[in-house]
Amino acid sequence: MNGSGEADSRLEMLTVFLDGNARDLSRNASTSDATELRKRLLEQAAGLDKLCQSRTLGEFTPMLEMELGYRYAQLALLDEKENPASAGEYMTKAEQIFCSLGWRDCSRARLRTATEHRLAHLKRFSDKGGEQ
Amino acid sequence: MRKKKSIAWAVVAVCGFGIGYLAGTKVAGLLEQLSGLASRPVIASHVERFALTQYFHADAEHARDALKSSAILLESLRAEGATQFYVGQKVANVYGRLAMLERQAGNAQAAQEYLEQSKKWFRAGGIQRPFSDDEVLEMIRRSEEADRKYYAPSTVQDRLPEKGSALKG
Repeated sequence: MNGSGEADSRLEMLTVFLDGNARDLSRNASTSDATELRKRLLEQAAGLDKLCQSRTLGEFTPMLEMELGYRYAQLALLDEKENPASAGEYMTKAEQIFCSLGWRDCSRARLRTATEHRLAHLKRFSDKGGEQ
Repeated sequence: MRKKKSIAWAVVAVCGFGIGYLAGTKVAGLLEQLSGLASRPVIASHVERFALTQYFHADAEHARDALKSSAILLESLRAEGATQFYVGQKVANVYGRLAMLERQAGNAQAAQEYLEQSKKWFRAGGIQRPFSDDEVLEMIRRSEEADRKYYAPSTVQDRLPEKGSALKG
């Protein structure tokens, strides 16, 4: 396969991933059961982690890494009251990811604000019945 | 007589399966097409969100990479019809941010090239008239002010040019 063919194939794979990811985010936003949400987030994080490690998507990998970082940050917010130790571990993973993405401020406070903003945005669109 | 009946049933069965298969394939194709059309704006929206998140939060190098890969992906969506305007605006917006980024880095030529790309995609998105640099910059400025409320309500440096100033110089 030539370079252009590989790039096309990566774009196609990424499009398929983004389509599934949009559905996952929409389902997450409409889930009120914390146990169910935690289970989903962990499954999604495991899948994303595997995909990131494989570097199959080449230059588009940072898009997946950001999704993975947000999943860990959301897990941290979910666990912070009942299981602060695991919340701390998730937040550390999120910090590492966002720092590797070049964020100028990847402190816990910044990640918390960014994640809460994103979740509120996703919830609004989920409530309206669509992602966008 | 019995043989003729058997042949007739076999023909009917084959035709029935054939028609059923063709109808099924047609319906599946239509559903796939519909789902593809529906997902393009959603995908475009996610890609733009990634690019703008990086634009507001990351250092220049990472922000540039994110904007460039997002522009490539958005262009590859080859949106048509009703979604063309929506996706076209997203591509124009991403190129506009690249122009801002390069302007801030002092790369006037690259900034101007991205500004031209932004104009091209605003037109492809359905705005059929020529733009001056200042008009496009004003559109990008308004969009950036709106986006800041969502992406970075209380943070980070300003990449906006002075109001009314073109990229050159």
